[in-house]
Amino acid sequence: MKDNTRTPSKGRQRLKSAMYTLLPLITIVVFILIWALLNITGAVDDAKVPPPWEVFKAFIFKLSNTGPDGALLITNVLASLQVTLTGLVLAIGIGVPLGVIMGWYRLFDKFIRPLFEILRPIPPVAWIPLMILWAGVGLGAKSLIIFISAFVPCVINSYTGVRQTNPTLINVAKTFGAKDFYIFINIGIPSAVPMIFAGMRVSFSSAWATLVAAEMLAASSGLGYMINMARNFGRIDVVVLGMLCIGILGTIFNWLFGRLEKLVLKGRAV
Amino acid sequence: MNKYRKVVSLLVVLVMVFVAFSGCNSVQPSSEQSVSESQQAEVSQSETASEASVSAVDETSLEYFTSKIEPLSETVHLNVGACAGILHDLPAYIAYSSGLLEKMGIECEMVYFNNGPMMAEAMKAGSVDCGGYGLGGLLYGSVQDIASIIHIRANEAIVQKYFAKNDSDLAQSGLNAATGFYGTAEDWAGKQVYCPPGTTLQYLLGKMMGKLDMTFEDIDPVYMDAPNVNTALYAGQGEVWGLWNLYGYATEVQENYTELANGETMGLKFYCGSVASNLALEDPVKKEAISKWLECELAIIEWMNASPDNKKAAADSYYQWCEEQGIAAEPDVIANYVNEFNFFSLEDNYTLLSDKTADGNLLAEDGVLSAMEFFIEQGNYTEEDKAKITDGNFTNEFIVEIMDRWGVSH
Repeated sequence: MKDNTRTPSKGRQRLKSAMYTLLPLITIVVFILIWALLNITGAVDDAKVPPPWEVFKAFIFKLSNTGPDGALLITNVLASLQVTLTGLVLAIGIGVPLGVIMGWYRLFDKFIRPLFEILRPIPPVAWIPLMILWAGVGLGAKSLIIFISAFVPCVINSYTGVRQTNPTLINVAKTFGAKDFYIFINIGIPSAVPMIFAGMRVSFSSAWATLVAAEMLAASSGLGYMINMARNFGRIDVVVLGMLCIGILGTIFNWLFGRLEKLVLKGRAV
Repeated sequence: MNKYRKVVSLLVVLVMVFVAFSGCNSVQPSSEQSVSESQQAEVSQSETASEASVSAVDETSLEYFTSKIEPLSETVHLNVGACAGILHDLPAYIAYSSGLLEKMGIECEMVYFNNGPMMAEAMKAGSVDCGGYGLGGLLYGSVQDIASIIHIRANEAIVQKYFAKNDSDLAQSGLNAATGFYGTAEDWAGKQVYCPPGTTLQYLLGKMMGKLDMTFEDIDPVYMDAPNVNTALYAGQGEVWGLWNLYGYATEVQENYTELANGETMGLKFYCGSVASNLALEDPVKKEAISKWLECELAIIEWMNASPDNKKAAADSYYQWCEEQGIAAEPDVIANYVNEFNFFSLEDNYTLLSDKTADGNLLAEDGVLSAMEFFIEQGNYTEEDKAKITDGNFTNEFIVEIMDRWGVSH
C-alpha cells in the first residue's frame, strides 16, 4: 500500500522552515526598498534622510578612512564594545547577586528597595556630570554610565526569577531538613537562571542603547563618538551608519546571548 | 467598586494625555525674559518724546541709536537662535531684553543651543529663523547650505582660551616669547588636554601645536563637549582645558587658573556671524523681519561702541543674562571681557562682505577658509566641502539695505 502521508508533510515542513528563515530577510529587504523609494521619489529630503546607497558608501569609506571622526569603523566598534562589555560585566556581577538576594531575603529587600526605586528612573545621561566629578573621563566613567543602564534589568529579572521559585520544591527541601541558605543556593538560584538570562539580554540591549550617551562624556573613538562627531560636521550618512551599526551589532549579540542561554539551559524542563 | 475604579482610571488617563499635549511644543523652551529696566525705559521714552526733547537727546543714548529704525508694518514672529551666555550674542540679546525688537514689530522667541551646528540643524528643520554662531556653525551652515551669513559680528579669537592650574608646570614655565603662549614643546609633551572637537578651540590647539612643531599625537587630547570640559576642570580631571568665554568667568577660574593662550595672541581669525535660515528667507515677510532684527542688532552695537558708559551698561546686561542662565560669573570679569571684545561696525561689515582678496574670495570667506583647511587636514571636512564656503553663503544684501536706510554711503 502506498504511503501518501510522508512526502507532502515533509515538503510542507521544509517550505515552512524556509519561510521562517527567509521572512526576516525579506522584511529587511522590503524596508530598504521602501527607504530607497522614499528618496528616489523625493518624498524625503536626501539631506535629512540619506539614501541607503549613501549610507553604504559611508560604510565602505569608513572601513579604510578615519574621517570625519578620526578613527576607522572597526576601531570605533571595538572601542564601543570595550566600554559596553565592561559596564555590562559590572552590571551582571553586581546586579544579579543583588537581585537574587533581594528576591530571597525579604528583610534585605525592604532595606534596599526604596533606594533602588528612587535611582531606577534616573536616565543615564543625567549621571554624566557626576561621573566626570567622581570617576574622571576614562573607560571607568563611561563604563559606569553603561553600568547604570544595564544594572536595573539585571536586578529586576533576577529578583523576579527567585520570587517565582516553585514553592513545592522549597517545601520538599524543607521536608528533608534543608536549611534556608541551602535551599536558596540549590533551588532558588537554579530556578531563577532562565529569568537571569532574560535579564542579561535586556541589560545588553539597554547598555548598547546607552552607548551614545556614554561616549558624549569623553571619547576619541567609539560608535557614539562617531555619531556625535559626524553630527558636528553634517555627515548625516555617517550618523545613520553609526545607528545601523549599533542596531546590527545589538541584534548579533542578542542572538549570541540566546544561543548561550540555550546551551546553559539545555535539558531543563520547561 | 469596579465602576469607581474605571472612573479613576479614566481620569488618570485624561490627566496624562492633557499633560502630554500641553507639554508638547514645536518650539524649544524659550528663555526667561530679562529686561534691563534702564534700557527698557530708554526704548519706551522714544514713544512719548516730543520734537523738542528729540533734539536734546543724548547722542550716546540707546534712544538716539534706535530712533532711526522704522518698525515693521505688522508684527512678525521670529524664532531666534542663540548660545546662552556667549559674548557675541550680547547685542542680539540686548535688542531682545530691552524690548527693542518688540517695539519694532518682532515677536521674538529666543531658542538656546549648546553650539552652532545644533542651531544650524534646527534651522534646517525650520525651527529657527535666524541667530548667530561662531566658526563651527559658519562652516557647518555653509557646507550644508542651511543658512546665509548676513553679518560678521566679530573676531572672537580673544575669548577662545586654554587654561592650566596656577601651580602646574605649564603655568610656571611662563610666556614663551617665540610662540606667544605658555610653555615649550617639552612642557606640552604628553599633557592631557581637554577640548571640544570640531570647534575653534580644537583649531586653536592645532595651531599651538604647529608653532611648537608638535602634533596632536605628542599630547593626549581628550574630546568632550564644552560643558563637560568645564565640569572636568572643576573636578580636577586633566591638565589643560580649552574654554569658551562664558566658562572662564567664574572666580574659581580667574583665581586658580592661568590663561596659557588665546586665539588673538596666536593671530587667528575666529569669525562669528549673524545668520538667516535659507528656509526663512524664502518667506518675504520673514526676510523683512530678519532684516529688521539685524538692523536692531547693529544699532545696539553702535550704541555699545559709542562710549565707555554704554559698554559698562552692556556688561551689566550681560552679567544679568549670565545670572539668569546659571553661568557662574563675576561682574568685573564680565566687564573686562566686554571691553576687550570688538564688534565689527556696519562699515567693517560692508568691507568684509564686499571686498575681495587676490584669490577672488570675500574677505569674510577668507577669514573662515584657514580654519576649514585645518579641519580638512583632520579629516573632518573635504575639499568639496571647502568649495561650498565660497558658494554664495556670505551676502552683503542685508548690510547694504541697512546702510541705505541709515543713509550711510558705500
